[in-house]
Order: sequence, then structure tokens, then C-alpha cells
Amino acid sequence: MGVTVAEQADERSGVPDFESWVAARGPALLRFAYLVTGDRDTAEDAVQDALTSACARWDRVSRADDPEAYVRRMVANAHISWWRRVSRRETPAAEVLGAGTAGGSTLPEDEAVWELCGTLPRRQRAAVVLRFYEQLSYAEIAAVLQCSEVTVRSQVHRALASLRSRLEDEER
Amino acid sequence: MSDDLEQRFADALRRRADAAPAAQGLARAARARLARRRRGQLAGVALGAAVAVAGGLAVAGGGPAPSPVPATGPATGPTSGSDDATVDELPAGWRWESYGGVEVGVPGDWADANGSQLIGQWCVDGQEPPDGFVGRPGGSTGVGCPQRPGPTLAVVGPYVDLAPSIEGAADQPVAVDGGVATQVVDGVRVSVQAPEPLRERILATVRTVEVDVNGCATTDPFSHEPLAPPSPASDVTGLTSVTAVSACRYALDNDWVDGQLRLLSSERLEGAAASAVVEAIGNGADGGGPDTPHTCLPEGAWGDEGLVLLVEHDGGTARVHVRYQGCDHNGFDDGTRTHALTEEAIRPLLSGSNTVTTGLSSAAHLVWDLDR
Repeated sequence: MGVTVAEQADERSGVPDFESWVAARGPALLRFAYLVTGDRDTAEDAVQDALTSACARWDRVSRADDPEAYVRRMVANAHISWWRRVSRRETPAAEVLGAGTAGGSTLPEDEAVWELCGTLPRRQRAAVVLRFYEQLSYAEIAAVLQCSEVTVRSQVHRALASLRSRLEDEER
Repeated sequence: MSDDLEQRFADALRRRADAAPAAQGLARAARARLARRRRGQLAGVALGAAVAVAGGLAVAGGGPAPSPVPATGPATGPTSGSDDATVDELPAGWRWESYGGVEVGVPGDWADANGSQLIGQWCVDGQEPPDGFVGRPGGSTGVGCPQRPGPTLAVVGPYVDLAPSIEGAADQPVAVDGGVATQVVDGVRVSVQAPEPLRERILATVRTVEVDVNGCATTDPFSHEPLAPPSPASDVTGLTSVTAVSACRYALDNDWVDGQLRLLSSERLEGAAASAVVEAIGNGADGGGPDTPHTCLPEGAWGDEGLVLLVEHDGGTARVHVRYQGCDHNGFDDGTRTHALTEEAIRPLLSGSNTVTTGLSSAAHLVWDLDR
């Protein structure tokens, strides 16, 4: 698909065009999505879905204070809203499939963290990733997940307590 | 210990993120998916109509959905941002109807109705179009009506139909086909069917405006941020000497609606009617609602349309955002709190030109006579 006149105008005004922005920020979004979903295919689908919506209204999204936060929020909420994923499941495009890096850390501590994440409810897992990976404040996380700051604090602290317990068990 | 644990948590996640997929072809894939989604939307129009009927939201005569609501009141209100005319130029007893930045004058006793159904689905049994109506897009039955005789004057009577132009935004002069005169003005298609000289008189009133006769702007930021509270906030329970309420009905941004979002219609309450509706809004329970978020998709959380209320009081003009069409986030948001929708508060605002013919979810029972 070609570049539209509006996008050319955006380039002239300094607002990034969609392709350039995705090229720059896409890897970070996929890393975030992978940590939130725990699955590479699901992560690709979540990011593609969010980018599709962002593309449809790029003129507005690109002028937001933080377009990445906007898209990140869509990724997190799309995954949390499982009924949406069921109803609108689309197959990730072929060009992205299988393009990931193999492996990841195999440190025991990393495995403990990953296993713990796998046991968390989706919203709590998203809160943990936003807190410890994206380094967001509790207030920012509450805004992303559309819940109260108290809820976020509680979820994060419970996850930390679980991790502490797991690590102490391993160290015994 | 806690800080150390948090750091270890963060480090572990950072290392694990290295296993994420590589970002190749993301933008191209998103554009392809968007194209598929838009094709699906077009194909889904008929499906949506069928769902509306299956869900009891039929707009044909005799169904539970609203019948056309007779419009009331003369053409009064704030001065229009008219390009080439003023309110005073309408014949006596006429009123202005606005849609997407275009206004047209119609006889004051014409009703407001679902043009998609009454005109597009003219062959459906049981419909009784009012004698003169203003049609706007709405849900429809999706029946393939034959070309002949068509929605002629003898079949559906006189009407003005307002809809987005499917031919594009470029203005097109009046063209007459089968007794219907159609023109495109600023992206709005205006179709008029009426005996002459009435048709000619109606066509002569068509004009573009930036602010309509009821004080509603053609576009409003609310369309793009339906959940954002109004700014500045104004506690409706503290407003005194309310003199008027402009109810501006806008298309809202969601995953299914793209493009330019504009005013769909407007109404204006004045005097006792205005103060009564503001009091009713304030009486609604804190917290908003009614909501049933478990019953529909997030895309439908706030629906395809909403209201911006411009409340004129002795301290100026207060804004209230009203969400009523979705399964979640419903209520009157004045910036300080969200009041629940109530029948007393919402019905007067969604009457006349603002009649909603489809898409209501959790608040349908407050707006429509579902038991009728």
C-alpha cells in the first residue's frame, strides 16, 4: 500500500509516518507484548491488532504526547479482554511468523520469574510487566489498566510476595 | 530486600524479553489487516441490520423500537454560524435540521425518523411513514427491496434524507431522479422528495454551518475521546438559573468507525424543560450506568454516538458528556462525577431530531418503550 498524501504532509511537518514509527518502536512493543502474553504468536497478534487500530487513526495517534503508551495500552487491554481475543481472532501475517530470536535466559531465577508470571491472572501479569519492565508508576499503570491505583499496588505486591516465596524455596 | 527483589524481577523480565519475536513487516501487516477489517465492515452492514432486527431493535412499524418522534418547537435558539442565511429566512412555522455541518429547513410538523429503514426499506410490510419526515441513517432490516415502484411520493410520502455522501466529499449540484432531488454539500448527501414547489423551497434552504442553530459545533473533541471528562468540570448539582440545554449528538470514535466524526443531530431545551432535565441529571446515582460490560465487546463499550450537553446557566455554559449507547461507561459525566442515566434525564435529550433508532445496549429500556 502506498504512502498517502496525508502521510507525506506529516513527514513535512515532522510528525513520524506510520511505517517509520513502527520500524522504530515495533521491537519494544513486541517485547512488551511477549512479556504480557507469555506467547510469541499471541504477542504478534496483539501487537498487529493494536497497530491496525493505530494505523486507522494515525493522524491523531501520532500527535499524542506518547503514541507508544497509547499502543501499549491497547496491547495490554486487548490481551486482558479475552472475549475480544476470542471474537476477533485474526491470524498474524505470514511475514512476521517465525521471525523471533530463539532462546531467552535460562537462569534459575529467570525461570522462577517466568513461571510465576505464568500463574498470574492476566490483569495482574500486565500490572507486573508494566511495573518492573516498563518501569511505570502505580498511577500510570492504573490508567493503562483502567482500574484503581490501590488495586495495582495490591496486585504487584502480591506478585512480589509470591516471587520471594519461590526464591526462598529454591535457596533452601 | 524488597528493592533488591524488585530489581531482580525487572532484570529477569528484561532478559526474558530477548525471546520476543522480531519485528519484521509489522507495519505492512497492520495495513493489510486494516484493509481486511474495512472490507469486513462493508460486508457487515447487512449483518448488523439483521442483528438489529433479531435483537428486537426493529425499526419497522409495530416493533419495539421507537416510532418517529414528532418534532416540536419553532426554529429558535442561538445565532447560527451560517455561511449564507439566518434563522429568520425560514418560512413561518419551519425549523432547521442539522447533520454533519449542513442545515436544511423543513416544515415544522415533519417528524424525525430512520431514513435507512423508511426509505431504503420502503417495501417492508407494516411501515407507516409519517406524512413528512426527516430521515437520518439508522439500523435497517436489510431487505432487498425492488427498484419499482421504489420509495416514491405515493409510497413513503415527502421527506428530507440526510446521510454521509458515498460519492465523496466534493460538492455536487442538485440532480433530480424519479422525483427525488439530491445534492452533495460538504460531504453530506441531502435528498428531498416533495411535491413542487415545496421541494424547491426546501432545497433553497440547504446551507453549511460551523455551529448549528442549536449551538452545536460540527465537530467536537468528545468524538475522539469519548471517555475524557469535560473540561472545565462543572458539578451539575450546583448549577443555578439554568436557561437552556443544547443537546449535541456526535458520532464517536471506536474500532468500527473511522473517518471524520461529525454532528449527527441536535436539539435544544429551554426554560423549565432545560432546568428540569438538569435537575434530573443531578438526581442520577453517582458512579454512572446502567452498565452491563459482560454482555458485549469492548468495541461496543461506549457505542457509536454520544451527546455533548451545553448547559447555559447564570455562571456561563457548562459541558456534560453523555454516553448511552454502549454496554459500559454509560452516564452523565460533568467532570466532577458521573451520574447514572435515568429515564427522566435521558429521554428529553434523545427525542425529536436526536431520536436514536438503533444500537442502544444497556440503556435501551430507559430510552425506548420496549414493552410497547
